[in-house]
Parts: sequence; structure tokens; C-alpha cells
Amino acid sequence: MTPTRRALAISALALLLPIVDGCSAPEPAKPKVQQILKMRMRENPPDTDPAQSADSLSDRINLAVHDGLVDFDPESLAIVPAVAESWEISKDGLIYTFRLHPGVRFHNGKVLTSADVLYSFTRVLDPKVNSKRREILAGVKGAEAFGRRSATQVEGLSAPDPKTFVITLEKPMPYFLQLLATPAAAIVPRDVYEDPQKAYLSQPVGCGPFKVARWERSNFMELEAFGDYYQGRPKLDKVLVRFIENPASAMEEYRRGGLDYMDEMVGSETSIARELPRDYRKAPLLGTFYFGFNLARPPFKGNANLRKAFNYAVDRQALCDQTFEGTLTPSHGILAPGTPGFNPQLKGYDFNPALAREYLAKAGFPGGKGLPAIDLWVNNNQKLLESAQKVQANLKSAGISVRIKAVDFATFLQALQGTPESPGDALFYRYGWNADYPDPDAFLFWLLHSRNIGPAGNIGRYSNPKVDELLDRARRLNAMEERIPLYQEAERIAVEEDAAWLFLANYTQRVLIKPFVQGVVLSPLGPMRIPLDHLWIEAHPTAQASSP
Amino acid sequence: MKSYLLRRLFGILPVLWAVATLIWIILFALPGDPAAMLAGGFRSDPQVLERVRAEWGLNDSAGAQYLRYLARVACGDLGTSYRQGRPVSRILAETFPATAILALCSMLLAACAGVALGLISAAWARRWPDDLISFICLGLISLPVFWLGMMLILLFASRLGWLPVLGYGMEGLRIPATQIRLPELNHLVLPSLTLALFSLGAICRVTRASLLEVLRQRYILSSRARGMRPVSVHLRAALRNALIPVVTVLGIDFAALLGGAVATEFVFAWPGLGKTIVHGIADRDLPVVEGGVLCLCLAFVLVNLAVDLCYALVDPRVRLQ
Amino acid sequence: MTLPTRASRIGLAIVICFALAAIFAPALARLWGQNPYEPVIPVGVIPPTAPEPSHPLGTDSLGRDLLARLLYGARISLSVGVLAETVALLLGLVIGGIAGFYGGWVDDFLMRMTDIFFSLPAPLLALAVTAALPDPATLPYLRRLPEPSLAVVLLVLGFIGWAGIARLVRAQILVLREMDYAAAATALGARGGRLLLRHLLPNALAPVIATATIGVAGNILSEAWLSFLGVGAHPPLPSWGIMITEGQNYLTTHPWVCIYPGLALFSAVLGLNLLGEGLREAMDPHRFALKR
Repeated sequence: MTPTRRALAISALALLLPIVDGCSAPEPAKPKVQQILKMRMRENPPDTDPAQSADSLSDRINLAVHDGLVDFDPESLAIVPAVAESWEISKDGLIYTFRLHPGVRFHNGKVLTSADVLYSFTRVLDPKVNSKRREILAGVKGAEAFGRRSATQVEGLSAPDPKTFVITLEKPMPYFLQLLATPAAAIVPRDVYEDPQKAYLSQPVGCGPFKVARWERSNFMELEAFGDYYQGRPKLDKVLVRFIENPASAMEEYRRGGLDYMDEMVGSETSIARELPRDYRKAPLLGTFYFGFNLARPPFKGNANLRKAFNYAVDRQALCDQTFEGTLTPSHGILAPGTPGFNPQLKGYDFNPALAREYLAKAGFPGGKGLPAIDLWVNNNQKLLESAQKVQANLKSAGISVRIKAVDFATFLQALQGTPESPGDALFYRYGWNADYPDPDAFLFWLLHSRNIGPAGNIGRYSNPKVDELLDRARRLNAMEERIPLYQEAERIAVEEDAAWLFLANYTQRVLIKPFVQGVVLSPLGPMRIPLDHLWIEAHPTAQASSP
Repeated sequence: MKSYLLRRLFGILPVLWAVATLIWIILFALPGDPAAMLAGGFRSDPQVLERVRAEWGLNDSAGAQYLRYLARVACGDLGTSYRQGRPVSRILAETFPATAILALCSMLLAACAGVALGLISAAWARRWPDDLISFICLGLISLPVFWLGMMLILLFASRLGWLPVLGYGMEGLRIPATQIRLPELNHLVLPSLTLALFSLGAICRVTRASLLEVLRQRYILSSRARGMRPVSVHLRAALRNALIPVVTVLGIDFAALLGGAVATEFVFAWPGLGKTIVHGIADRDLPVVEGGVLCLCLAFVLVNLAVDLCYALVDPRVRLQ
Repeated sequence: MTLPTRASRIGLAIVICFALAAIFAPALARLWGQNPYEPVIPVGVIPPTAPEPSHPLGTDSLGRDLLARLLYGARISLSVGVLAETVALLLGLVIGGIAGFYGGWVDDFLMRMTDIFFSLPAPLLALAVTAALPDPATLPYLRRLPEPSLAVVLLVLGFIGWAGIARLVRAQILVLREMDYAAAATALGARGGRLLLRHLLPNALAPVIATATIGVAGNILSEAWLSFLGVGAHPPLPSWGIMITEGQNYLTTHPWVCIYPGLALFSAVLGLNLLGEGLREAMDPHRFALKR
């Protein structure tokens, strides 16, 4: 070694030393035996104001922090008491009288009274608040006038005494209590939410089982058990919600024991289920997955045969089994199994390439001739893109040529929705819909009624006066037995006569939960409804950690 | 010196204006409706949409929106996030430190290792250690960062269990009198290692090249001839001069790390600015994107200025005027 | 010009291999009887399937032959890299050449412009521009290209990459302008644009080529993480970036889906980098001062 080399080598070593030193990381601290649940959420919940809660992330946090008058039983979805201890509904189905639970306190110590309920519900309807979920209370008498600012208060909401609250509806709404069980109907304390500085956005205050202890928005949210919770203090001391965007990283964190719960798995679920058989849980979900047509534009406009050709061309079973590994179930219609009114007799469409070609010819495009290439709009998501490729291949063998157009969600939304007056750019797109309440109305009214054409939900711009009439009539009836035939007829027309969409599948939900977490119930309304206040940790987490 | 500094600082303004305008134009051209993203996604009430548009002035003409934006930014007001409903400056104050700390750490790691390997390479130029190091350095540059990150997670976190998989940690030290919380040290290791491995290659190559260049210079030969000991030649004369291009690369790399660590921030769930900006683009939270890009751009310009000032310190030949 | 180091010759060999794979991808894939777009596994088998004799690298998450996709991916990734660099090169040569040649306020203005492009965070810029560009299928010329979504990616990468090249070219021109042969050309009547185009730019090209080779490597990497962030080319195109992104979800359960595209990308980029470094050294005037 020449002196030059030695000199350089020595200086190199000197520079490397601090790195070697820096690499000896401290030992991970041993977790104490604690009732702490660590869960993953994709990102920070965008809306911690319950009046604006409209996505599953916000819903999950708002359901933990707030309570409404009533709630869903997580399993049966029956309406159970929450802040309201009991209620009466008048014979005509118009007047709801709620008795409030005594001794309900907010996180700031204040006692909840009917004035808070009045304030919270008025707030949802207040044009200044501009709630995205205004529709849950839009059926209350006087809501319309209040929204137009021609009344200073909502006529149908009243608080005759601190423990009683009365709601009067414009028309009967058989599913009204279900609407009151959605996160947006939470009861919030008036003194906190009247703040013009909106401090409640950073420090939400509710009467729910958990309060927000710490919150770093791109990092984590720490929920702490609320000691004075009126239904009894939750068994968990803390729920740590970690915001982890990349699902592959989150999966490793789960394996490693840094998470006790996660949904939104990626990769092969069959392998995950095999690897973590005690953690992997699957349950149905009230939701439908389909590819939609733009019915206001050619070639789909007024061409039911073409739409039927699409429906016959796609192999749903293979799509569900291969691309989705059984995490979707093939469907013949719109309503998900488990929804009241689900019709197992609905025939729908089975995979039948011969029929597809026949209908394509009937539609005026024999062998696909004359049919321009159609863009299939998909928002960027691996599974969705895979499913789009599968459908693309199916359609191609039927002679229909489709180009996949992957765009980010905002672009996707704009291309789909258009405005109530004019349709968006997308002719053919993937779409999905989850029910907010377990009623056929939650699907059919929003997706098929011509009143909701555009952003409100009927993105395909389906319009059939017969279906509108059936849906309107069903909305006014009280008895479920009378409503169901109307909904089933509306669904049948949309599916079998009009082929309004390319009907594909129903969702399921899959989650990974460490086996030591007890009391887990998966609600058909989605994993965000897992009742956090009923969970507990059975044994020392590290003793049973299922990491390899 | 003082007037030089003033002139440079003044020169930042047109650059900031141009960047502010450019990013505004790009964001304005972005398809997708911010109001639709705010008003509830798949199901939005047309009335609510209309009110949201009015509230944020999204119905105004492009010119009016641009002028309002420029006036606001000129007064130092970065606006309010559409989605979070709080000042963009607050969001930047929360996320920029995380990004800066990560960039700083990986820069330090990369600088130490890169210069060291560069020295070795130069000492054994064109022998096997040089070839080996070249190969390793180029190999590291040739990996996609997110892939490298995943591999490091699999190795050090999943297999060996030495380090946490991801995250910033919950209990890091809080810097008094600020909103800034430092990451936990063991959470910092993997992400900064990922980024450091990536930038290391360039630093090593530049060190090597510049050292070889300097060693050829006459004054080195003459000081050797005059009988100076090689160690002092290398450390005093050569290394010092050879470091000038290295400092430039460090400066550029540091600035690139501030804005370019996006994929790493995603893989390691690092609560940084890059991720915030990407979310901002996805959610059409335009004020956050504008503010974030301006912030990164300012940081870049300032780092470059600092690099130029460093020249004067390292190289006696450089006079700032 | 010969390549000076063993490493750079290895680099050249790797690059040639990949170029051949890219050019003959359809023929090679046909040799196996595979198609990069169609599932090749029997109905009822859940993909991805492990490597086996008929599918030497296994199949991906949609049951498509991975080897066939990798071969076609070489086509896509290499052409994105090269074409994007061509765009950057053209912009950089023009802007840098003009700035260096004319000097004065033109130089000042153009160099401030490159400063601005340098100061913008490149990945975020790429993200925003990719999202902001209108649907390529509706644009007048792009529409006719076989893959409009790729065209967007390579335009964006070129749009971002020109600033570095412009600086390099300008510096070169500044030196070359003062050389004797430039004076000779001027004396012989070459003026303005002609002098720049015929005499200066060709001579400035040599160091630029080395930088551009490394730039191609950088573009292939950029395409990969643009795909990772979900704004790259559109599936079902088998670009390596898309394949790695799809594959990372299967990393622990079906590693081959992610590892093979990763290896392909890695070796191609490494080859280009080695080659670029070699070219750079080959042009180093002091090269012969060092004895082996």
C-alpha cells in the first residue's frame, strides 16, 4: 500500500465510523400489558365534523367519538337505543317522540339535553353549515323552508322538555330511524360547535365512547376511553389509529405486530388467509360493484340490446373467482344479499358469448362492426384495473373493443358525474355503491330514480317513469311487506328489461384482526362499524403475536 | 459580501413568482372538480356543490382567481386548505420538518459514506476496489427507491426484526416552543438509509472524479516534490480542493431529497411534505399543493445560496461579488 | 473511441442484450407461444402461479406469462427512456445552444428559466403535469400514437429533464465559441444559426451523449415510480414500472411477480449507467495521464 493510499484509506475510515455507530439502533421497547388496539387507516379522516361525515374514514372516527339518538345493532342491523332510551312513532308514521337517556355527558363534562339534539339536527340542515349529509333530515317538516332561509327554525324539530325530543316528518319515511343511526346524525354539544373559529375540527367533542387524546394529522390519532360514557366505559383504554397509505407496507407492519387490525388487503388474499387463518375474517357487505353505461349518450342511449350484449359477454364467475379470489360474489341484479327485498329469483344475465354476439347483432353492430372503441374509465387502483382488464378481455372476445382509461379519482369523478343537466365525458366506467342504511331504498332510490341524475347518485342517468313511480310509491308506504314487491319490480325492470348497467358482483368485507382482540362483530354496513367500545384484548399481545 | 447576499436574496423573488405562476397554471389545468371532491365524492347534493363553489370562489374567472391568489401569496398568506379547513402555513409547519429531518439525516449518511468510498476509489483508481465500488454505487443508483425501501423493510424489519417497519414513532422529543416533534431514532434509520443509499452513488463518483482531477494538478506534484508528506498533501491540499464539486452535488441532492422523497415517504408512512402534496393533488386541495411547492422551491433556492456561500469557505480562490 | 473500463464494456453488453430483447420481443414471446396480454392459465386456477417449464418466470396476478410481459416491457421501458431523453435532448440543445451562443439578455433569461425548472421539485412536477394534461386520446397528434398514455409519460419526463442538458450545452458552447476553429468558420463566412448548428453543436454533443445515456436510465426509473404513484402508463401495458407496482403487493406471498420485473429494471438501468459512466470517462481528456 502506497502512502497515498494509506492516507486516503484512513480518512475514508474516519468518515465511515459515525455511520457504523449510528446503525446500532436501540432495542424496541417492550409493550406493557395494556388494553390498546392499534389499527390502520389509509389516511387522516378528512371530516371530523360529523355533519360532514361522508366517507368510511371519517365515519369510523365519528362513530367512535359521537353517538346519535339511535344506533344499528352491529350484527342484525336492528335499530337499538343510543342517546334516546326509547321512542314512540305515531300511527300515521309522521311524529317521532324520543325519550333521552338520563345522565348522558359530553366529553367536556356537560350534560346532554334535548336542546343539544335540536341544535345538532338544525345544524345539519343549516345552509351555512352546508352539510353533505343534509338529505338524512331533508324529510323533516319545514326542512325545505329552513334550507331556503325563509324560516328561522325547522318546524318539525322541537324539544318540549330537556329529556324529550320530537320530530315531525313531511311524509312517512319507513327508514327514518335508520337514517338517524348514520354518523351524520350525531348529537354534538351546542357550546362547542357554535365556535366560529371551528376549534372543534381539531378537538372534536361528542358523547361517544372515545375521545380524541392526541392527533397528528399525517401520522396518527389516539383515541382514549371516555370514563363517563353513558353506556359504560369501553373496555379498551386506547385505540391508536395509524395512518399508513401504502398497503404493502401496512401488511408488513401487521405481520410484525405493529397493527392489530387492518382492512384493505393487497396481494393474494388466498395466501393471506392461509398464512393468517385465525386473523383473516370475511363477511358480506351491503354493496354492489358494477360497470356503468352513460345512458344519455350514444351508443348506449336507447340501445338496450347493446347493453344486454355487454351483460352476456362478461364472465362474472371467473372475474369474482380469479381476479378477486372470491372476495366478490357474482350478482344478477342490484340489491346485495342480506338487504331486505333481495330477490334470489331475479334472473339477470349469465355468461353466454353466443347470446352476447346475437344481441350485438340485434343492436346494429354485427360482430362489433360499426361500434366505435369505447373508453372504460377506471380510477387508479390495482384491483379495479385488473378487473377492468378482465372485462376488457371478455368483451373483446365478443367483438366489442374497449380501451382502459385509468385516471386519478378526482378526474374520474368529474368525468362520471357531469351536472344534473348535462352528462359527463365517461361512456363506460367502473362503479360501486355501498348502502348507508339497510333498506332497498338505499340502493334503488339513489341509483335509479331520475330525480337523482348526476352527482346525487344516478350517475348512469337512468330514467324510466315506471321505475320512478314504483320507487316513489314504496317510499310512502310504512309496512315492509308492502314495499318489497314494489322494489323488486323496479329492480326487475332496470335489470331485465332495461339492462341499465353491466351488473357484476356484490362486495364482501375482509379484515385482519389479531386473534387476541375479542368482541369483534363485522357489520354488513362495513368494517368502519366494528363496535370499538365492545372490543377488548384478551391476553398479552406479544404472547400471541402471529408474526412469522 | 453583504451586497452580494442582498442581491441574491432579491433575485429569489422573480423565481418564486415564476414558480407560483407555473404551479398555479398546472393546477388550474388539472381536470377534476375540487368542489366535487369536497362535497362528498360519489354522492353529492347539487345544492351543497354550488355552495362549496361559491365559498371558495371556484366560480370566478381564471384571471380573478389568479390575481386573488397572487395578492394573497404576496402578502405571505398561503391560504386555507379546502379539505382540512385550516391555514396551509400550519400544515406546512407540521409536515416540512419531518421531510427536512429525513433529508438531513440521509444527506449526512450519504455524504460520509459517499466521500469515504470516493476516497478509496480514487486511491485505488482503476484497480479492483475502484471497480467494485463503482459497481456498487451504480447499482444503488439503478434501483427504484420504493423497491429498495420495501426490500429493506423485508430484511431489517420483517426478517431480522431489528427496526420498526414504518412510521415516525409517537414519543419523539418535542422541540420546546415549536410544533416540531422529532422522529424516534429507530424509526428514522430505515427511511434515511433508503434515501442515503440512493444518493450515495453520485457523491462517491463525484468525489472520486474530482480527487483524481486535483491530484493531477501541478501544485500537488510540486508539494510532493518539495517533500511534503503524502498524508498532509491529501488531507490539507487535495481533499479540500476536491470537495468543492462535492459540495455542489450535496446541495443539489439535499434539495432534491426535500422534494423527491415522495416514494420513500409513502413506503415508510413518513408524515412529510411530499406525501402531503401528493395527497393535495389527489384531493384537489389546491392551496396545499401551491403552498407546499412554494415552500420546497424556497428551500431549494436557499440551499443553493448556502452552497455558494460554502464555496467561499472551502475554496480560497472564490470571491463573492 | 473505445470504452475505457471493463465495467463499461459490461454495461454495453447489457444494454445490447436488452435492446435485442426489446426489438425481437414478439418473436421471442412467440417462441414460447405466449402473449403478454392474455391469461395463459387454465380457468379455475388462481393466479399468480409459480414458475414452471411452460412459464419459466411464472404468471402474474392476472395469470399472464411473466416472461412474455418482461420482454414486451423491455420495449416499453426502453422506448420511454430513450424517447423521453430525446425530447429532453432536443429542448436542452436548443435552449442551451441559444443561451450560450447569443449570451446577453437571452442567456440571462433562458438561464433563469432553467433555474426555475431546477428549483421545482421534479417528482411533484411530473405528478401534477401528468394529471393536468388533457386526455391524450383527444389531442390532435398524440391520438394517432399507438399508446397515448405512454406519450404523456415521456413528454412529461422530457419536459422535466431538459434543464440539466441545457446547462451543460451552454457551458460547452461558451468554451467552443472561443476556440480557433470557430473563429476560422466565422472567417469563412459561417454566421449565426449556421455556425451554431453546423460547427458548435456537433462538437458540444460528445459530453452530452454521456449525460443523456445516464438520463435514459433515470427516465426508466422515473417511469417506475410514476407508476408506483399511479400516474404512469395505463394497464394492461406491460411496462416494468406497472409490473413492479402490481407485484409489490404480492411481495411476501408470490415474490416472483415483483422480483423479476425489479431485476429486469435494475439490470437495464445498471447497464445504461455503466455505459454512460464509461462514455464520460472515455471523453475525459486526462484519461491517458493515469496508467493502468
